[in-house]
Amino acid sequence: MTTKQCQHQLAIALAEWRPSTSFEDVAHAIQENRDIVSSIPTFPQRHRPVSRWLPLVAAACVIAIIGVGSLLFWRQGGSVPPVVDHVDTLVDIDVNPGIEISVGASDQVVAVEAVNADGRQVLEDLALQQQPLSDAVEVLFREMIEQGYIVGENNPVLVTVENADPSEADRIHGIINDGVDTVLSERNESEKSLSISVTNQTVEAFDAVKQFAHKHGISNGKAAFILSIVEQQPTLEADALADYTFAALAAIAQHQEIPLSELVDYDAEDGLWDLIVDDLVNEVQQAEATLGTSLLTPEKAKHLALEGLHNDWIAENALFVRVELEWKADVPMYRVEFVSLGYLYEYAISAVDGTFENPNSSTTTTGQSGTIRSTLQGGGTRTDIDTPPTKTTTTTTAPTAEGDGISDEQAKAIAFSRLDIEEQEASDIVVSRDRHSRYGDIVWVRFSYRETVYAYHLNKSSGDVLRTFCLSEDTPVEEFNIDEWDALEIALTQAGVQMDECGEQTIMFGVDKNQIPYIEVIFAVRSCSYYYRINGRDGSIITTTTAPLGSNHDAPPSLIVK
Amino acid sequence: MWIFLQTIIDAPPVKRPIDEGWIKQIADGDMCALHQLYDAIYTNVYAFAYSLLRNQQDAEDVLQETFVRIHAHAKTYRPQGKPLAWIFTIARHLAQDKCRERAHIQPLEVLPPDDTHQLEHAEHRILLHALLNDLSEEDRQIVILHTAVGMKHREIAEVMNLPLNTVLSRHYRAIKKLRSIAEEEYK
Repeated sequence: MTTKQCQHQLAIALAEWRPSTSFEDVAHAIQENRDIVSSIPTFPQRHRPVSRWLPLVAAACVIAIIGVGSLLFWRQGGSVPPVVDHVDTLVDIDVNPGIEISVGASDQVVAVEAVNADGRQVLEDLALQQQPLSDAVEVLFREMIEQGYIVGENNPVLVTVENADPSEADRIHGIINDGVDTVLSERNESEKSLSISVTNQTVEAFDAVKQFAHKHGISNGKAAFILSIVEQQPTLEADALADYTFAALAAIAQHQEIPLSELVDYDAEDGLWDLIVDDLVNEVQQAEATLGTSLLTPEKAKHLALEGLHNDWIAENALFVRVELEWKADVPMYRVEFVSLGYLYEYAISAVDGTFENPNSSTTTTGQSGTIRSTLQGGGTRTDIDTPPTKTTTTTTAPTAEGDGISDEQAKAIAFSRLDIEEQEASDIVVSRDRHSRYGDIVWVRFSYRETVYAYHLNKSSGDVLRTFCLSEDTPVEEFNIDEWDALEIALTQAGVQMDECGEQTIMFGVDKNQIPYIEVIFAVRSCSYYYRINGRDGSIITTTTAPLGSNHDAPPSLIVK
Repeated sequence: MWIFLQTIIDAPPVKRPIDEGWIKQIADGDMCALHQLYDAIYTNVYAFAYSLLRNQQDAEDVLQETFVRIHAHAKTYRPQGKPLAWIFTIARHLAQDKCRERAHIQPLEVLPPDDTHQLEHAEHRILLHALLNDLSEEDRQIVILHTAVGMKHREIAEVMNLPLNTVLSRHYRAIKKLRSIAEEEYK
C-alpha cells in the first residue's frame, strides 16, 4: 500500500462513516434557535452629531460613528465565542490595528475580534472577554502603545459606537474616551510627547456600509469613513481606499481638499488637519524665535522628501500622512511621512539646512506586525505597509503596458528568453493570470522543454521574473506531500526573511539516490544567497547552504539546469 | 493554478467540496445552500468531531451545533478563500467546549458495531479503527483535515495553531503509521 493508496482508502472510509444526525435535525435546531436570533434588534437609522475634544497635547477632534442597533457579532479570524451572548453595543476601534468589541449587559465585553493583521497582533495575548468595557479599552490602548502602534503625537484613532439608544451610545462613547484619557495620563507622566487624536463622526450604519466593511474585512466605522470620502469625491475608488490606514485616509481627504467637516460633525470650528497644520506653524515660529534664525517651511520639507526619492512615479502618488517638528540634539527636525504605492516613507529632515538624517541600524529590519522596513539611499526609510492598495503594485518600475499589464505574448517571450529558446522548441505552453493577496498580480507561464516542465511567475505590470519552477517529467510527483509554497514558506521561515525581502526565487523538484523526494529553494537576500533542500514528504530540511553573492557557492552543482 | 505540482500531475487536484458562495447565500437566508453545504461536509465534520471527542453522541451534537453556528454567523464570514478553515475552527472550538462540559476525561470509546457496519470493506474499517485508536488527538485531526476534508497543510497549521513543519511531519508520520497497521492487518 502506497501513501496515496492509504490516504485514498481512508478518505473513502471517512466519507462512508455517516452520523445519524440528518439535515432535518439541523434545520429543526435552527428553527428552535430562531427565537434567540430574532430577538436581536435590527439597525434603525439615525443621524446624530456627536463630538468632544479630548484634552490632548496636540489638539484633535473626536470621531465617533454612532450607528444604531445591536447585534450578535463575532468575526472570522479570531476565536469563536464559547457561548452566544446578547450584544447590546458594538464598538469599532481603528488605529491601524482594527478591533471590534461586542459589549453586552452591564458593559461587559462579550467578544473581541480583530479585523486586520495588526489587530490580531494586538489581541494575541489578551483575554478581554467578560471584562468591563472600561478595563478592556485601557488594556487595548496600553497594548497598542507597547507594541508601537501609537507613537509620538497626533495618532489618529477612529472610534465607532453602534447602539440603538442614542443616550446609551453617548455613555459608551464616554467610557471609551475616559479609558483613552486614563492611559494617556499614565503615559504622559513619562512620555510627554504621546497623544491620541480621536475623531467624532456621525454616520448611519446602513446596509451598504456593512456590505462594504464585510467585503473588505474592515470595520463598519472605517467603511463609513471611506464611503463618506468617496461621496465627496466620486473620482476616488472606494475599493482601493479600503486598504489604507485611517491616518492615510484622513490625509487623502485633506489631499483631495475635502473638508473633514463634510465627513464628520464637529462642535469645534476647525478640522483635524487644520489644527495639526496650525500647531505645526506655531511650533515652527516658536523654534525660529528660540534659534533666532528662519527655518525651512513644512512645505519645503515635504518637497525635499519627495525630491530625495529621485522617482517621479512614487512622488506623483505620494499622500502625506504626517509632517511634524521635533527636536533632536537641539536641532529642529521635520518628521515627514507619506504613503505611496503600498509603502510608507519616513524621513527626518533638518529644519535648519534641509539635510537628511541617516537612519541608524541595519539596512533592513522587521517593523511592527512583521512589516519590512528598508533604508533608502540618501536617507529615510520605506516600510511595506500591511495593506497596500489593490490597485497599485509594489514595484517602482512603471508599467510596461497599459491596462492589464504585459500581454500573454510578452510573458511568453520573457519566459523563453530565460532559457534562451524559441517558442517552437517548447510544448504544452500555458499562460495564466492570478491574483493573490500575498503575491499580488501574477502572470504565470508554464511549458515543457527537453523533458522538463518549467513555470515562471512574472510581475503582471513590469514583467519581472518573480520565481521559477522546474521539474523533470520523470519526477514521481505523487510522492510529494508538500508543494512548492510549503517549501518556500519553510525556507523563508528558516532563513528568517520575508517574501518581499528576497529577490527572484528558484524552486526545483527532484528525487535523491535514496528515492526521497525533495524540493530545492534558492533565493538571495541583499548580498547573500540561500539554498535549502527540503524533504518532499515531511517538510524537514535536508541541507542548507548560505553564501555571499558572487562567490562560487551561489548554488550547489545539482541545481544547474540542463 | 497556484499549485505547480497540481498542474502537472495526472490525477485531478484535491477537490474543494464546497463553494464559498454558499456561505453568502446562507447569510441571505438560503436554507438550500445550507443543505448543500451540509451534504458536502457533514461526514467530515462528524469525523473531525469524533476524532476529538471519541463519543458518538457528543460528536453528533457538535455536528449539529456547528451547522447552527454556520447559519447564525454566516453574515460575519469574510470571504478569504478559506471557508473550510472557518467551518472547522467552529467545529474545533465547539468540540473543545464539549470537552470542558464533560469536566472529566471520557474513557476511550471503541467504535460501536452499529457505527461501523456501514463500512463495507474490511480495510476501511481497519484504517478507521487505527485512525481513531492508534493516533494521537492532534495527528487524527491533521489526517482528517488533510485526507478527508482536503485542507492544505498551511490551512491546517492555521486552524490548529501549529507550525507548518509540525503539521507536515506529523501528517507524514501518521500516514506511515496507518499504512503499517493496515499492512500488518492484511497479512
